[in-house]
Amino acid sequence: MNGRQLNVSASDILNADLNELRCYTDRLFGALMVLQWLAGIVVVFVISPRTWQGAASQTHPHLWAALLLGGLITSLPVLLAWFRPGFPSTRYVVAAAQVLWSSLLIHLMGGRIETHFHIFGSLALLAFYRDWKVLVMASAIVALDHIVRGVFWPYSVYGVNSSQEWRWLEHTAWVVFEDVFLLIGNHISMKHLKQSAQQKAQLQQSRQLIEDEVEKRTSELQIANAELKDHAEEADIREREMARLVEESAHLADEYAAAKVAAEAAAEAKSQFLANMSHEIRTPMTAIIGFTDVLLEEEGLENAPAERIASFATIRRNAEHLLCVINDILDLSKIEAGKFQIEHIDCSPHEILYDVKELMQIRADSKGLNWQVELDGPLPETIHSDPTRLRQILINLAGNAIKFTEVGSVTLVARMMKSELGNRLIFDMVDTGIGMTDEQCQNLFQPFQQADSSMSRKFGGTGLGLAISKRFAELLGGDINVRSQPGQGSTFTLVIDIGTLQNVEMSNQLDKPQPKIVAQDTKNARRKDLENSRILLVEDGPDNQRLITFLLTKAGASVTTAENGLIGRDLALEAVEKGQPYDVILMDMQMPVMDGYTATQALREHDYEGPIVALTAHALTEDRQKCLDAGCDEFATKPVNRTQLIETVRSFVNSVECV
Amino acid sequence: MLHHTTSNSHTDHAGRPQACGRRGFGLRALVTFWTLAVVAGMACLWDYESAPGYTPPQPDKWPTSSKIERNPAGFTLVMFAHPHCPCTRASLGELHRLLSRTGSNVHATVTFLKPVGVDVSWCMTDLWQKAKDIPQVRVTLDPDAREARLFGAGVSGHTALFDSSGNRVFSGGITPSRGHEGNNNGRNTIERYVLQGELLRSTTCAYGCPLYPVATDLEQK
Repeated sequence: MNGRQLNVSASDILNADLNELRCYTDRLFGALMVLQWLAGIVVVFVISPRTWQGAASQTHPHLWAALLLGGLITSLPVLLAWFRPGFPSTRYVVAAAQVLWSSLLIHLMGGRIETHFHIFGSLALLAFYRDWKVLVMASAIVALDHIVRGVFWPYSVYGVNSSQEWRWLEHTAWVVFEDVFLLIGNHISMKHLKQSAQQKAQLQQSRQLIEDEVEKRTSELQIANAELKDHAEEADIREREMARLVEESAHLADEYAAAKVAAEAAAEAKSQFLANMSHEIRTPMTAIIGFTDVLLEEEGLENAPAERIASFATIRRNAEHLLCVINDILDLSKIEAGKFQIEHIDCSPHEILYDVKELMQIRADSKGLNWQVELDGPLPETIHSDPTRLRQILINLAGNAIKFTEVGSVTLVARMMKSELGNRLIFDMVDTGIGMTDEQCQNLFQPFQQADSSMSRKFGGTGLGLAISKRFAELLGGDINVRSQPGQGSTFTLVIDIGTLQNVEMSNQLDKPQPKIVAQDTKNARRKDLENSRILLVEDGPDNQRLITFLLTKAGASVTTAENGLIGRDLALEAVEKGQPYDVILMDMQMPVMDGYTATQALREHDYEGPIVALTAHALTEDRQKCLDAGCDEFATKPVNRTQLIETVRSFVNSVECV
Repeated sequence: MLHHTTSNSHTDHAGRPQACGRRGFGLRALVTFWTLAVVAGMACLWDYESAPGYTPPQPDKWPTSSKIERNPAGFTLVMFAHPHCPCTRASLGELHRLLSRTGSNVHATVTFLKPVGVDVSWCMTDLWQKAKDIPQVRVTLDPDAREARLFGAGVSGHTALFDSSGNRVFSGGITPSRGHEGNNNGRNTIERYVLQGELLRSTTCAYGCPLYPVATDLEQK
């Protein structure tokens, strides 16, 4: 609201206040008029009720005048004050009537000077209107009254038969005298009213601003509430949608859990199947390989026909190949099930390289290839890795390189690389073989995949070796890559993480490893190894029972057999009670009635302290750990390696003797 | 501040009432009629107030048959009054004012009408008492307006002044109109003559209730 609007508003307020005041004054005069009328009648009735003629009398004309003329004068202003308060015409009529009442009263009261005060009181009351025109009008009527009466009835007013022209001024001057003060008071009062109106307008403006602000805020609040309501509805919809999704998710989670359980059950069944299959295949393979070795080592075999010897060798070779296939399948299955565990132990890369070199030398020689292992710079004498899997990868890569190289050489180059990511050992298997195309290289590390189907027909193999090797490399913190050109050979690069190398010496000499088991490849020495030793063989398979008994007996041991763990446990405890405990117990871990794990735990619970060597077709690390956890002292896998078996048993027999 | 509404009326933008249309015309007509009626009424009233009463012929000498005591050594003033005439209150007031100025030079008598057949107590009104309260005034009764007729007084308030010789100096009313006090020719004439010997006029109009029926007076004459 600007200044002009404020003035307009103040003017409106002033007019409204004046109107209210004038309405009030109109009604005040309305009441006064009636009272005056009644008072006039009463006064006349008291003073001059009757006019006389001798003893006769009649109603005095003054009484009729008070009643009728007074009523006439009173009627219109009272009506206007009642029905039209606040109108200018009303207050002008009121002013005229009030002055006329003064005149009437003066007459009715016999012209008493005291009655003239009525006109002065009336003017003061008329000043309530805050309208100078009302006072002017009333004064004008007074003047007119005196002028007219001065003309027509001068004697009744001035007491002379002919009044002077100025006499009305004399009478009117006293009225004007009062008017001056009333007008001054009226001016001051109007000034205060205007100030009050101005303040009210300002207050109204402030209130309007506040109300506008409140209305604006209220509107915003209503909009916000509406939006909130919309949001709430939307949130409700979303909540219901969310609840539905949660329900679906729960349903899917249930399905997933059921599927997971089913998958885990299937995986477990698969693992169990593979384990059982491994055991069931390894057990006869143990017998096949073992008895083939027995046949090959029989005295006088050199005199047998060459064809027979070749047949024995063929059996032996194919049995080992079949065993490798089984081992690969088992490894791959474990890897893909996430159950394959690798070791992180200190080992010597030089020894591993030497082993690989020695192991592959015969195959390379048989094809007339130049097989070399080279060091490109010094290697740490000790690394932190899984030697078994590293050796397995390198043998696989070397075997492939030799297999697919007809002419030329196969070279294994090892070097070390230090970087911010850690210490790495890099092995390059370089051959001059047939090579591969890029497309062939892409599928090379997929399980059951070879460069192409013709390879399988020409070179054999299951296609599992590289897939397993790549998985092993990844588990060892590295990878395997290949670069190859058809007809020019291939280079397989193996990278593994070897951990930290604090206080580790570097060497560039390819050392011959210290043999853990001293091969005593003399039949006499073997026979003496287990002389006078008593061994309890707990094995359910009759073939393996017979083979192992044969091998141990041949090494000089006295072997007692048990068909299951329960019998084995009883025999062992019985021997202890007799004071003749067995030197070593060979415990097959998978048997009917009571398996090897339970029997071993039972023996340990009976404080059996003698050595127990586990025999199992399960060849993985976790299988070994499981046997050790059950109480076994050592672990030997099936098929039985004769040399390792005898050396393992011998190590315990000798230790017992030392004790 | 009271709060009144102006229902059934038109107002301007500031809330001020405004007359308009047929209502305005009706209002003007009503005001005009009212004004004319009031003016007419007031004119009638003024005319009544200014209408003098009946004045029979005046004797030039003090009536010899009068029982009112005359002052042979000075002025004698006689006022005739009706004990119930309201207009006479103004005459008594003017008499009181007059005598207070003339002093003991005037021997004044106010004689109140006593119609035939009424008790004396009928005459003992406030006017009687008011007359008695005026110093140097004697108050008497005028049975059946005998004295009034002798002195030629027709209405209450009629006043006559006689000199020491019994000659009538002045006769008439001493109020400017009916029952109206104030400056007037009658009082001024008496006062001037008594105090200064100057006679302004010998008669004025008298205003008041008739002391006796005019027809009766005419019949007697």
